[in-house]
Amino acid sequence: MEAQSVWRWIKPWAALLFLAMVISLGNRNIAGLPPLGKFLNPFLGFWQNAEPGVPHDAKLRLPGLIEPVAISFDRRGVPHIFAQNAHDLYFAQGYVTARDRLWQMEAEAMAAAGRLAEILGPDLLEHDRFQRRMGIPRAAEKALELFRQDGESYDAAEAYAQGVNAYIDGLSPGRWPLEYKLLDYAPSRWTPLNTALIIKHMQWTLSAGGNDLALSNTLAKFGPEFLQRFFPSRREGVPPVIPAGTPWHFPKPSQPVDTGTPAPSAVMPSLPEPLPKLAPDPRPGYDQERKPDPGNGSNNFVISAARTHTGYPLLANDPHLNLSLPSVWYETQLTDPDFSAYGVALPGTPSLLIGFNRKIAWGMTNGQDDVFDWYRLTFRDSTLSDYLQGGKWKPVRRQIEVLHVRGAPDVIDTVIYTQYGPVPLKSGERPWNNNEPALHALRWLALDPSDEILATLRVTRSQDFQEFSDALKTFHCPAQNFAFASTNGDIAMLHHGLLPRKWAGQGRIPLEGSQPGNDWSGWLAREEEPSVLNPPQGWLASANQNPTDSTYPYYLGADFLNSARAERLGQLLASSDSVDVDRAFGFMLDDYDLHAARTLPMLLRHLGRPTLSPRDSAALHALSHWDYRCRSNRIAPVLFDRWWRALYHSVWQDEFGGDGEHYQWPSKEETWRLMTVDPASDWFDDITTPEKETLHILVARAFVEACAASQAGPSLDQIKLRQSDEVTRRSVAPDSEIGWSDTFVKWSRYRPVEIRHLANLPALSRMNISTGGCAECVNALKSQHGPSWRMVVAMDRKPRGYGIYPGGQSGNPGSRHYDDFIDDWAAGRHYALSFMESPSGSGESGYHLLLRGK
Amino acid sequence: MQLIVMFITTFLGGWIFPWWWPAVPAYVLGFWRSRTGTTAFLMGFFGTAGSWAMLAGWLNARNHGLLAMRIADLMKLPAPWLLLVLTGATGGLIGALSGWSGHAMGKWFRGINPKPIP
Repeated sequence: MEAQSVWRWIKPWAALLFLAMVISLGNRNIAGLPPLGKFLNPFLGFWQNAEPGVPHDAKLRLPGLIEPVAISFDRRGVPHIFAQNAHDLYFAQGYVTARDRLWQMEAEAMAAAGRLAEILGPDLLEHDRFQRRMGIPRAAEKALELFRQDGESYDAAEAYAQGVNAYIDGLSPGRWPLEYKLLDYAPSRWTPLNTALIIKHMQWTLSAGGNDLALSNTLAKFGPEFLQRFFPSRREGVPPVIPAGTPWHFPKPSQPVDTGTPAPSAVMPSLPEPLPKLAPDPRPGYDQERKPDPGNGSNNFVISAARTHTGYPLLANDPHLNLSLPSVWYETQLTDPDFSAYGVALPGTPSLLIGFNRKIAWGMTNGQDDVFDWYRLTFRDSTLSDYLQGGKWKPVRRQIEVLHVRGAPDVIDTVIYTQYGPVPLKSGERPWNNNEPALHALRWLALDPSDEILATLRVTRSQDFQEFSDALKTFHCPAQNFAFASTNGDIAMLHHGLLPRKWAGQGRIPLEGSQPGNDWSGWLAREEEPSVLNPPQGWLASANQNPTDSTYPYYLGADFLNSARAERLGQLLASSDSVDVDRAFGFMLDDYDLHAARTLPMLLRHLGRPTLSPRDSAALHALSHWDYRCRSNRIAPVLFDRWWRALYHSVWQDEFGGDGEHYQWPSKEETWRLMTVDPASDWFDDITTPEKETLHILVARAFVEACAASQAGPSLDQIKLRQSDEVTRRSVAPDSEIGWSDTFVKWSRYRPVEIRHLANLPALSRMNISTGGCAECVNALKSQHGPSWRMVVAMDRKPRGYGIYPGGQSGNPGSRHYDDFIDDWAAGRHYALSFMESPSGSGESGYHLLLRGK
Repeated sequence: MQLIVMFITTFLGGWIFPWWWPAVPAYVLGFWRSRTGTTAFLMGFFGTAGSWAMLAGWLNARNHGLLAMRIADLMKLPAPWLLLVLTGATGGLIGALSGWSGHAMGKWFRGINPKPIP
């Protein structure tokens, strides 16, 4: 009786407590899942992101607009903005970009600012610390100061921010983008600083991919002769961006001419210890290489009227970047009373980066100039307060960085700055991406203030070559190959950016920071930059190769990409005198592997006619009859790639040894050259065995290895692949190559293209896309990296644009526009870009938005 | 009747209040109205599960199941329709626990201040 009455008293309170516990459980992230109650709630959770079909026309009142803005969304979800002044134009651009890409913009700005731990917790602390140590957020603040001084760019960034914030203010939590709900945080207000951060992020991607440390390790191990032989900064015979023989319009300088190899003064007296070996990072999503992809590059080309089918110039561009969802690009048409331009923008920045207006078209590829150098420092003591420079101790400047961490106390970090720049790594610290030497200062152009936004604002408004060239003046970092074409018939290529004046080889490996005179000594003048207008050959092309031939007197770097892509593109352009739009796309989609075409015949010669197993003879047959095209259903590209990799590895592994990843190995192009010019070289001997190996033996061994590795068995990887996506099952189409085709893995299976969500969530990514192309092809498509926007513009009296990118306009995985371009992109198709003359006009339109001030 | 009241209040309040809002009407109804713990539990469950699943189902149909497919994949559910079931069950669980809990409280409260249930 007594017990029963106690229970009657306890029960209601215990039940209430239990209820409170269940509610609190539903509010929390458990086991990597979003907070279930919040997330599943159909009123405010993810179901609200399930977009219905085409939206209805709408009229909105937004505070901050001066005059009405009309926006037409076409069927693909591209906004065509018609504003009556520049402020309203960039306001509206901010508004619509936020509507489609808010989470992406904010996440990228937070990443650049080193603030991801604020939203994702302690796992991201090292990432954030790295961004701070590299000085990226402080550089964005300095850039913003410059925007303020320039005025025009600040006004645009500010108007853009107002537009983004007008969108955020109109959002109830139920309409926040899906990722905020998944990761359980709220959007914050957008600022012009975020725009500067996004620019810094792109500068990091395009200019921080150097290999100075690995190269200095190689130099330490093999000496300067090895470097001169296998790491030349220039090779004769490679077609440069600016055609060979183009006259330079500046007096010859008195300083030393680029000899193609590091000057002795660039070689350090004593060399750094190789880096300690690092275990792979076990955290999910952080196992990828963090260094910018060395293949970050692009193609662009322009063809003069005389060589096109239509009699008008053509311009084409396909920037190669990491492929992601939401996509790196957002397509827009911008119109105000002064101009109308169509193209792609980086979400988070006003104006357009690549595109065309009524008079001109422009495109860019990365210049690959070396603007990222290290200086070795000598500190007085372990407090790192003073460093030696010119025989004197100089004090460092310290910058306190406060890192907020979700669910944990703040972390305070101190970044040391010297006259060269920040010191990212103190001794004993773990390098973030295996590329930073400890106690070295970083001299990086992206940390200097520059105003690329101003350049893009002016470029979109330019009417001819002179205006375009002038508009680029404030585009500093990193230098690009700007392709240009206009309706009045001009074609041009400008290798432009702020280019440090260097001696040959300066900064290829870390420089001695205590010696005066190792600093960059000023900048090249504008007229000293390589450029050409209307060349006699009638076409121009760039593919991140060396911009000039050896008559150019200045040293720009040694990280230019190898020439196979540039050479192939040049062959295609030189052999076609009647190009049309489809043909131009055909060039960009070209899947001919020039590296294979010049290497495979030599390998087959070395292999001869050995006795082979039926499987291996089938492989040999496939290789001998290969047309060097990397198409999704082929087996030969797989066999060749494996064969080449096995061979390359066997040539160098013995010399570089077990910790080979800390060294820069000779490129595959230089290795091919060695095989061609010196097939009896001692480098082919495996120094770990008493016998003398020859190239002949290595080729035969690598062949058998490649055949075995390429055999299509139900390996664990493939079973996983099959389970992971329906697409795989559909893509295994019948193959007509040879009877043995099912024995070997096909190209699409060997190199499946993956377009991953930025938060690396496979469910929101597109995996196992089957399409052609290869790393060395003009269609430079690797697994997660490749043509992020293909565009061709025919410079008719009214320019006609065509383009496609692998993604969709909406960043919302619940929208049909999230990934609706991907299948067409993979199939090599493109869209006609509708350049609208008025907002109401054509039947191209999906729906309209009319924005008015309040 | 209780079920209808539960359904309507859950639906109307859902647009404004946090996700655990159904716990409030379910508790009150359980406290004042439910004759047994079981009816309070069922009223809370079906009132909430009904309104949650119905709205989710409608949003899903309008979207042709596009987002549900991706989220089911993300949450490692074998089929997208299970997401609707999970949504209904999650809402239902809160409603049910709260209804039952309210009833228990009501019973104890009336044990101290006896008054007939009207």
